[in-house]
Amino acid sequence: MILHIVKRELYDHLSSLRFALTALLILILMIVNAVTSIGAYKQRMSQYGKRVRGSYNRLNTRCDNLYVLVQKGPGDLHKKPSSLAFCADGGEDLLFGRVNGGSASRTRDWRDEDASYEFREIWRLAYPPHLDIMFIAEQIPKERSIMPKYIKIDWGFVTAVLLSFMGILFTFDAISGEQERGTLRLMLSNSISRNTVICGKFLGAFFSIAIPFLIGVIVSLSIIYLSEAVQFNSSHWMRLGAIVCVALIYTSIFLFLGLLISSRFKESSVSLAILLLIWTVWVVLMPNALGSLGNRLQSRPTAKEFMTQARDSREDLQTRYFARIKEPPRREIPATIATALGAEYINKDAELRDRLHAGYLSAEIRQIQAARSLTRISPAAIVQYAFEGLAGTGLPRHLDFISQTRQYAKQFRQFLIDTDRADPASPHAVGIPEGTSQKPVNFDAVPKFEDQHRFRADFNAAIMDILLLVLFLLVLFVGTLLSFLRTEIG
Amino acid sequence: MFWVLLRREILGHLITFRFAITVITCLLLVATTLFIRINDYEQRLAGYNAARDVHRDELLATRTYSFLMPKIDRPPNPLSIFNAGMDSRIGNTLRTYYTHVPVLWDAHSHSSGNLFIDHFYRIDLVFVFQFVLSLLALLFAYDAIAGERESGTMRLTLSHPVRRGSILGAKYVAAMTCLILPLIISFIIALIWIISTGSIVLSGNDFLRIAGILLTSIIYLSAIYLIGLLISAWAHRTATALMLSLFIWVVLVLVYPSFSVSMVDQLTNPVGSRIYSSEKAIQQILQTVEDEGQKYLMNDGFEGESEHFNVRGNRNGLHVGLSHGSTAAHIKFRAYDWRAIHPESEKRIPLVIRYHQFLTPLKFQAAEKIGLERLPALEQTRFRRAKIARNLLRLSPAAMYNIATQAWTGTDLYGVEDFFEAARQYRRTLVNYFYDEDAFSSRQWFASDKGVIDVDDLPRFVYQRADLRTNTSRALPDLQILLLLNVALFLVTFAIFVRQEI
Repeated sequence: MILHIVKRELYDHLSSLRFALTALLILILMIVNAVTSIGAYKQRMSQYGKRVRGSYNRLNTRCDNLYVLVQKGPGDLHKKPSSLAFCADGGEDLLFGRVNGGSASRTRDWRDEDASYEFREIWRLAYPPHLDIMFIAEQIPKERSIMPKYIKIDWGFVTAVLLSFMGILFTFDAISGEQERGTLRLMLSNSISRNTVICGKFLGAFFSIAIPFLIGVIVSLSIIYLSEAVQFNSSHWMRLGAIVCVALIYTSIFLFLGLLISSRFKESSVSLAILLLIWTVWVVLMPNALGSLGNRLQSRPTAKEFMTQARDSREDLQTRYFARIKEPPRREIPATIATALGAEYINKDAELRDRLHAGYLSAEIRQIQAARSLTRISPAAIVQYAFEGLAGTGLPRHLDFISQTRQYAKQFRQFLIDTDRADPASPHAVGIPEGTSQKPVNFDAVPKFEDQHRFRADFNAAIMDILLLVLFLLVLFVGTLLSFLRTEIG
Repeated sequence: MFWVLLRREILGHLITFRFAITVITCLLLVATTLFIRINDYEQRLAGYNAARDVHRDELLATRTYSFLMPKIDRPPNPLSIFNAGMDSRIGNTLRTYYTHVPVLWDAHSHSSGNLFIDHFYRIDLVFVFQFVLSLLALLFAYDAIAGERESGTMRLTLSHPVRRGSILGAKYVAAMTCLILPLIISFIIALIWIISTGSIVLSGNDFLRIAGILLTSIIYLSAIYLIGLLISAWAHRTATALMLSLFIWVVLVLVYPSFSVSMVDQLTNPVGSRIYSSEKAIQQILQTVEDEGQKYLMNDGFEGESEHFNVRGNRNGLHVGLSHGSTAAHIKFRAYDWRAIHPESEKRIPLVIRYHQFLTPLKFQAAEKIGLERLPALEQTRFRRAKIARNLLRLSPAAMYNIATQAWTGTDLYGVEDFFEAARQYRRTLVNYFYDEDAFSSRQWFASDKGVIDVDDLPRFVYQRADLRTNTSRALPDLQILLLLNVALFLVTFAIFVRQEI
């Protein structure tokens, strides 16, 4: 019997105007998205390749001398663009795709009555990546800042906005409409349980949304596949499969919402008005309103406060060390006390700057995380975040990139120390020219940074969102069943 | 007869459930939005006041002319409560160097706001009206004609001696009355809340601007209602009318604005060859100034090429050699402050003065030249993209409503640019001040050992938002297009309705 209902519903929907219109819109958007994202991905990849090669070349020129490598560091570390950005763009253009592992080469003067010495800064990790701490206030690449705001049309948008809208349009009159026409009474007079009716209605609407969406997905994927811009491997297919599943779970949430409201109200025009309002508020307005609250919930030092704090703590460190340094560092083996102290100072200073940047960044990230957690009341935001997680774009991926650069920085530092140890002519006080080996370094042995897309990290970021969506689905499913059981059919 | 119809329509709308629930939702949303935006404004205002005080103290502590580089601040716009626009997205602190003509991208942000969040989430009153009230307008419209035709009441009405025009007119006026009602209530709540905070000071012109926003909102809602009415007159069944109008609503309000801007963003390149060529020209200008300076030092008859002429003493200095980002271009900015000069070096001071007297005007001129090179380059690349995006957006009434209200509030690109225009003016004032004071041929250009400069008569930077007339002229094109759209829609609806057989 349920099959019968599903079939009837499906035929009804497929021949309706709403199906034709929305299916057409989804298809158009998916195709346009596929075509433009191929170009965008190619451009991003070639830019990424160019930048990485540039970084390597600059690194190569520093290999003549270990001290130069110690002072200048590995240079810019770049983020690899995600090949699945067409699923969820995640505001990639608004995030800086690099971390700076270099040095502004500023000097600090140590003075004595009859001697002076210039301590030169060594490299540190900085994000936002500007060389100068002065520019920390720039959080967003500048050329984008005057474009009107917009949401990228990606699978995330199609799902969050269009599929949910379709869900409402296909269910608002599912029960109230039949009640108005009197056909519901007719149907229930047969030996059909109410649960069967609900499930039949749900499945009918579900398939009539899933079909155009899946067609759009397949068309869009085949365009991208045939263009050979993206090489799909098994991890990609897994991600894509998960994304489609999430989209369908999300659609079901709105189908049940529609059925729930439809069973509560006798007139279909009333249930439509209510559903549209819920949809507008829940999908469009709520994420925006709650997201804007993010900066209120978590405070963050202003750029000015941060700069003052950074300057103070650096000067503090300097005074402490300079008080202990009694003579300028000299090149002697073993290292003199002054050389060792000087090297220690320079390394501590780099560490301190590392820490300051990381602290500032994490305060900022906390705000963004707060905004994101708040917006999770809306399934539209959740589905966006889940898509970003699965596609390897957006904030979680960005944080993973930054943590990868931190691991790499450790590795690079260790390499410098090990290389210096291998040189018997060095006093082994890495950080100042007097204490560091001056021998050339084998470029091939220098660890290189390569950004990795780690499926596990991405999936972990998404799993919470997926579970939340399932929770919404279950609540609405049970609510709909109960509500329809209690509905009186007049 | 018209009045009878009108009364019937208004009552018909007012007692419906959809009206009640939409109005309640709208008011709740307005209250939430007001809370968020007023809070945000107060925070930004506090940040602005603090920054301004710090910068004034910094200015007063300036000791030499070459160290004069006042920081100026952009106050937050109180009307950003209505439409946030770009107000918090663009930097609001700017240092005016005499060697640099500032543009929008030179500004930094002094606020503790998170630009990332500002970029991703937007909520303001216009945003709420744009979605919720337009939805109500469509819900009023979709069955206005199709519904009456289906239920047969249209035939009944037409059997009376009543013209079709007045039926249509009554419907339009009734629906608009019912739409304007929640709109006005929202505006009154907003005004009461804003005034009662005490921290937000609105000028008389601001009230006129708010009236402009109200007017734009009404015209926008009317356009959306007429779209619904047109569909209702054209479609044979209510269900068809409903689906069509909802579909068009989603496309116009949500899909198209994002779609068009994302196309522009992906298909046009923010840094084209135009930027590179201007960068080269700027490098050349910079090189010329450097060369002139070196040449002077070589030919001045004094041994050594140091710009300090071996003067001994206690010196503070500042070097800003900024060349970062593709279009940033500073002449190397140098500030000097000799706190004390050794008596033996006193005889070389005239040489230093002559050197600065020669070089500083050259730097001024070069800065102007670079400005002339840089502004058009940015205009033709970054600004052009933003403007193309805006023009494409105009195909959607919802986006046009947003643009027009931004023009009223002064939070659009032009409104924000006004500040930078004022900053460029102020830089010219600063240069003129230097000329008037004969600053660069004075000892106090580089030394404060014989007394620090007095900055009391330095003109201060005062920023006034654009006047009402400018706002009006910026909002007017979009208003006119929206009005024309209204007229066209009404005429087409009328034509369809009159020729229709009931």
